[in-house]
Amino acid sequence: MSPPPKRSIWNLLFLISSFGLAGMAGVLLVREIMPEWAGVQIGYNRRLAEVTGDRSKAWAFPKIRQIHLPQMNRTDRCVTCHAGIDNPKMAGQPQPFASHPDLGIPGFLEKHPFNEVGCTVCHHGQGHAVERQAAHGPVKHWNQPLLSKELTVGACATCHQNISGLKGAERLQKAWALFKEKGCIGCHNLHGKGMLIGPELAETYSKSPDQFDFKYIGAGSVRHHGEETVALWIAEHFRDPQKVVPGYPKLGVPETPMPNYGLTEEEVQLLTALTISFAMEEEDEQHPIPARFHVPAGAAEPEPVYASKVEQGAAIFQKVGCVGCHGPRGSGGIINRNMDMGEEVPPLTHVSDGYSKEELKEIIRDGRYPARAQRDGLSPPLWMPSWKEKLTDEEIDAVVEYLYSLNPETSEASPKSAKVRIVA
Amino acid sequence: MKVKLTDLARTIRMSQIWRSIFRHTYQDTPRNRALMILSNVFMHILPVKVRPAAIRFRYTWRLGEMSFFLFLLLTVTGVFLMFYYRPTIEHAYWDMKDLRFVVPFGPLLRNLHRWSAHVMVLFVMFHMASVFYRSAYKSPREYNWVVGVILLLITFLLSFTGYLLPWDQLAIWAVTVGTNMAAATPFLGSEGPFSIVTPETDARFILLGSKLVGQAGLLRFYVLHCVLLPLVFLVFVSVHLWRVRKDDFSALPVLPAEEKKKGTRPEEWHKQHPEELDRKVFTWPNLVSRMFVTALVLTAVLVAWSLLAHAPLEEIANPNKTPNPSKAPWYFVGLQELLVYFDPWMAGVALPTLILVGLMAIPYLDKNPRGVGYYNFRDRKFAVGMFTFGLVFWFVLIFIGYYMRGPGWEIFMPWEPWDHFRAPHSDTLRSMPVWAGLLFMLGYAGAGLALWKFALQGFFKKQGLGVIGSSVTVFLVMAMFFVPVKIILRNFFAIKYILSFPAFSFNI
Repeated sequence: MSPPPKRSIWNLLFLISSFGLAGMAGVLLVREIMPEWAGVQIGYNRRLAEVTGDRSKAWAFPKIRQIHLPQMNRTDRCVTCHAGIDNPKMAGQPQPFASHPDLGIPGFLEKHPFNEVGCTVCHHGQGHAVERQAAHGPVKHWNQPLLSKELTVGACATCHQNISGLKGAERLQKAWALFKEKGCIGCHNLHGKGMLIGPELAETYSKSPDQFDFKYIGAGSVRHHGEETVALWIAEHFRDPQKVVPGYPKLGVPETPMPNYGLTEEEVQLLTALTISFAMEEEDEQHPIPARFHVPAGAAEPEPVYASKVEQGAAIFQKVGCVGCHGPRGSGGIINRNMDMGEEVPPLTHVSDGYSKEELKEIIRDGRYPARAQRDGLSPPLWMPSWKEKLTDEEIDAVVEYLYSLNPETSEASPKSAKVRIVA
Repeated sequence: MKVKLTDLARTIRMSQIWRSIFRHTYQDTPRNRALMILSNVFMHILPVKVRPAAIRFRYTWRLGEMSFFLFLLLTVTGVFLMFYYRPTIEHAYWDMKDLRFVVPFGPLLRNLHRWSAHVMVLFVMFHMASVFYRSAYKSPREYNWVVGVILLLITFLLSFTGYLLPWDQLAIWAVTVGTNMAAATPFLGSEGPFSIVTPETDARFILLGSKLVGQAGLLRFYVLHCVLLPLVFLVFVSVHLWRVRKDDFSALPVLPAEEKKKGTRPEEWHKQHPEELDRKVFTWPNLVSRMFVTALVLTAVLVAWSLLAHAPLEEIANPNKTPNPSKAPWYFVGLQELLVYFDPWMAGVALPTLILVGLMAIPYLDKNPRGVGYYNFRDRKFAVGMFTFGLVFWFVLIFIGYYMRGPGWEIFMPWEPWDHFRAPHSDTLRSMPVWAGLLFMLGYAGAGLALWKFALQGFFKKQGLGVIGSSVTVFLVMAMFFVPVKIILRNFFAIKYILSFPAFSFNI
């Protein structure tokens, strides 16, 4: 019999893979015995022993703690590390050990018992996760990362259907006032109501980051890498819409018509929180809210009584969002690319010079598409929508009366418009 | 009293209990080496002695062994996963999250299962290729090749059914792409040509228990994945291994170096040196130790991979949010890529069926006796050429589909960022008029006949291939080349369909 084939390489492979497997088994065992969260919990136990003076507490065996809420389909393991949230003695301790503050609202903690509402319903983040990065985010494929301090207020709307007068939601109220002031609803749809020039706002925050273009945000790229969050996109879009959505002029895709309102950083955060709250108001099939948690909206505010038609018209001009494109008191200044008459939504201060009241009513009723400045250019992204389904004839009358009152030459009440234009 | 450890061991080994379990000692004698195989039900699948050539790494590349080992590994990890997984749309996704975060060794289990599955699909394909290139499917092993092709199909199906179970966006849309092809089956699919069924009675409905991927589909895939397909696999793999044993390994002893240099063909040399064929070594430990080390290395690699990379888990399945692009599992992406060029009934049903039937037919068409038991490309240029073309084409399509297709199934280079707003590649496609289409198809058939008559007739005759065998070979070859022909027609001549009968939704 001839000698069997050489076997040295097989011996070597045997050794390497055996030791390799043993080493990896060791790594796995250590990971199982001493996971990240166990270290945090041991730290918590020691601190608890210090604070309470009860030495035995330091030796509690670490274990995964969770708030299991099958009705809401949530399992919040946040309390594995944030073990002191319901312990008043841990007030003022550093995170993750601190107790949950009451936000200076009496009864806040009693009304939001943690073992019934959990954590993620207000704070978002991945409740199932017990790893720091995966739990807080942002991580790939978890589209609701932990909300920042500025944005958490947006989650109140998940249960509170009426935030006006809600204590602790003052920032959301401010944001809502800003929303009305800017006339967003003149272009956007909100819960299916409003105009369809811009996108539905209640859908924005429930989209996946994959559906946004992050190319123009920071050093970002179009592909979603995990650190790109929808909130980040929304905030940057408020700061400078045309930077984030510059379109593809070469391919005939115009930049976004969303006006750049020159918002302050505070306003950007407010409106981002508000956009989040719009998405929270929608029903979430994955995480339903039990009926008993719903705080219903109060009675609708009664329609105010107006002293004059002009006053009523001014209120409607603000309420339905004409102000969003035509500017406060019709002063204009909103860019509409490639629109004739100076690539700008027409200011309305001088309409009484060029139009009869009947002509104005017709334009408001039926809407109008602007003409292009350059014939071969892109069509202007903004247009005058038809209002006949939103406003009654009487209300349109009032708006026209208001517009007629804006002319500084015939009405001393109006401020001087910088841009006087004859609308032909 | 002092008890000697060796005495104790001896006492145990001599006891009735021990001897009733272990039938022989472990002294290294030829008799015991033989008994290691003969007296063990599992080892018995191996012969007692093998030719040294059969256990060379560079002969089998240990691919068949590794595929079977992966099946075992997948069964073990799969059973553990079943303890934690509920196949309902309420729980499935969240059970995956629990496996990832709180189940002891959960990530290891899931990652091992996922990566092993990918590797198994790949290795089964490579195993088939290696068997082809060393002619190990030729007589008397034709039928075992057929069983192998069936095992390849079951491997695909096992992996495909498992793909749905995590119930994330990746899963639901990959399976939607796959099962929509079933709806395009001729006759039996509601969207296929000559359909005779409704969406509620067609092939897709049988697969999914619904028109869409939902709870019924998840349960069906779960049962198929965990029970039915593994059982069927076990039946066929038993036949497969038993046949390998009964038909003997094909490997021919390696030629002496000087003979090899002269270009001597091994089969001829062995006719003069029959004693070489009988030179064998004991399977234990020569083959068994290598099998063991192979399994060990493979396990180590897979565990390392599982430590480094988590199995993907995207957002929870949402039937209302279609990712753009939605891709099938990688091994089916080649077929999905063909959807650009063919209707679903061709890309998803007709071509895969032809591929499988064609593969199974290979041992009955390739009667060339050359090359059995070693890698010989010189004496079987036609067979190797055709097979290699098909194999490379299959992987090229997978590469294009997987790495070069972005939103809107537009071409993006692998290093290019995906741009959702890039202008779609649009050219106006035309279909040939019916007369031109018929003429083209007739012309193509004519080209096949010409190929037969003028190029291959002598070759077929030499091999003793009859009219049926010859015509089937020509048909399969022409069918294979029809795919690149159509790709060229579409990309360079803007032809959408060669032959189109919209009334029957029959388009080629």
